[in-house]
Amino acid sequence: MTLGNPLRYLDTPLRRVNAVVVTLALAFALVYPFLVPPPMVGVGFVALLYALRNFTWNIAGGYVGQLSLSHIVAFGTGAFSVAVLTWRHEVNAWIALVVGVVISAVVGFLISLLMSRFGVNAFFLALGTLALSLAAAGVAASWSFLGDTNGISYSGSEEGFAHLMWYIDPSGFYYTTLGFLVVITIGTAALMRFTHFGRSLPFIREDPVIAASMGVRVVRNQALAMALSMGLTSIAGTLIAQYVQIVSYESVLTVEIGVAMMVGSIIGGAGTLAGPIVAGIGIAVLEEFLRSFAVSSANVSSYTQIAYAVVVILLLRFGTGGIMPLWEAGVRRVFGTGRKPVAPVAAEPVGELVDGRVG
Amino acid sequence: MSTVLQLASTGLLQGLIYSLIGIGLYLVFTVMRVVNFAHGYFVLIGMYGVLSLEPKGFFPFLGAVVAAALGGALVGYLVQRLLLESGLAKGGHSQLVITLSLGIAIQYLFQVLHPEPFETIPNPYPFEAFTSSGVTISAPRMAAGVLSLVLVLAVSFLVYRTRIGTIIRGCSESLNGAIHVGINVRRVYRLTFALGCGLAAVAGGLLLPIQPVSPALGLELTIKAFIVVVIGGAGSLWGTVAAGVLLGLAEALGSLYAPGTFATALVYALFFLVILIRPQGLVVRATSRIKPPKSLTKVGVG
Repeated sequence: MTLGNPLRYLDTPLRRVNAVVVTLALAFALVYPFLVPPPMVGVGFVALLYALRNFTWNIAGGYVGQLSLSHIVAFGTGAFSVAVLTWRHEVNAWIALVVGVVISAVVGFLISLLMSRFGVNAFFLALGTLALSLAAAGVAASWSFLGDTNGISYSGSEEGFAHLMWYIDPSGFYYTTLGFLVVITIGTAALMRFTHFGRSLPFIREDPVIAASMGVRVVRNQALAMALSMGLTSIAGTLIAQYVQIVSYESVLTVEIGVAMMVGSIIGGAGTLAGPIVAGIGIAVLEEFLRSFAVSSANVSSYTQIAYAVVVILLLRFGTGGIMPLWEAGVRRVFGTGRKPVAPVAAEPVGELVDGRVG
Repeated sequence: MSTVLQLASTGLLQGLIYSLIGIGLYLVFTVMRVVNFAHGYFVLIGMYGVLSLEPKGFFPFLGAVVAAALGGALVGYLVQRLLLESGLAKGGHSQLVITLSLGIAIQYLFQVLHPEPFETIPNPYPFEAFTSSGVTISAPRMAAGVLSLVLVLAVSFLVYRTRIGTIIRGCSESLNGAIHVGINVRRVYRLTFALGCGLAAVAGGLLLPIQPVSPALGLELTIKAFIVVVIGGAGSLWGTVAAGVLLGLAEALGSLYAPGTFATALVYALFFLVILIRPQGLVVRATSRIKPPKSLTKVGVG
């Protein structure tokens, strides 16, 4: 496979504008910790973590359209694996991270397989995965292995990248999360563009029946996407656990986390590459902004949740696909599409499938 | 033995309230095929509505419950009219996320307005408790159960014995048919949604003297309502009522054998199994009502 001249991808104004924005954003993200005091680096870490969380949810939820809340379990698995393995038994944090990823991926694969085999529709998928997550929370709350109601606290002394732990300066967490986010984003983009599996995902979302009749292995691909999505979500759980140094069922296995992932992706634009990231960072900034109004910290999360909900309801009510589609439409309006007007041939936008997502 | 009897009667009365909550969801689901994830939060509206009216005595309490019910119905009407109606033709996903978000918004709105958890009101009824053969039942619980039963009967009368009920069932049976015979489907949908939410709010008002309210309760009640409707199936309203009583009994008797959080986990796990084993309880019949089963696009497709 040859990529040829990478600049040839920048053939429309939208792509050129996006390339400039992405470059600037990445450059800003790299120098950000040097510009602000450590507490603000922590905010940056949280923003990137939200972005990572939304992005990984979007792989199954956005591209394949599996409105899953079992990602709560994945997030919790990541957090609990590092808590149990590293904090209790002094296994290296990176090994714990991989263990969390593997467990979450297997769980995701099985859930999706089970749901598909029984022909569960979108509503039951949401409800069933919610039930599973609540069951998991109930188990964690009553099982001392997972710290029951007290939770598990960090106990260790090592610091540094090899131990995935930094005590005072959160920029280590910041750059690690940034690295994960960049790698996962590029990987997903490549997956969606260059592989048969990736291209089949939006197809499955739009019409599983036609996809199946075209030879796409719908059930297997759904399950693989779910495994990938939940496995990567677990990384976010591990990172936040290391950052806050305490894990309990109340902090990592709540419905709000699942809803935040789902809603964050939808606000940004479900099934878009940049949408979940933009929304995740935007929401973290919004939370910080509310805090600056001297709202008590309990109310900050309340107001953010309300704001979340209102924005999502408005987006869905007025039929827009989120921030990214709006942005794309805006850029096209300002800079033009860069393409000669073509007479519409077929009603179905078959060509857009190649971009990895449909309209 | 008397412990079991005590728990069984408590569970039965609690179950009747679940039935009342469940039939609201059942109506909305079977008629409009909208999955209202905010249903439990309408119960919450009823609870906080009565709480904020601070009724002293029996008749003010009844008045407050009625007011809360009307409030819940009004909110439901507006939600249906302003938020859900336009998306009905597009299929379930947008409503799923809209109602889920709506629930979250309601929960955190109450979190801001009433930060104190577990608020309740004193017993509004003019009597204290009933005791018979070793079983003691407090007045609010008894009254809530009985009033729920009365309301369930009233709703079933409305649905199965009146003209409005015929129209509602007609829309549920065949949307195309309903349009053909000139039923104003939009209005029926709005009324049904308002009715469902109103019933949830009534249940909330009746529940308040028994169960202290906190904003997180909404999710729990939503899940319970779904359990009731899924187990009850889409066949008849009575399935939902029976499932509600069953849930109440199971919950009360289950508390004998398993500690709190673990029992809850068990309930959710069982619910997951029910979803896997019989999703058709809700779904297949409902979708087959939208389209004739032999529509060309669906031939040979599960």
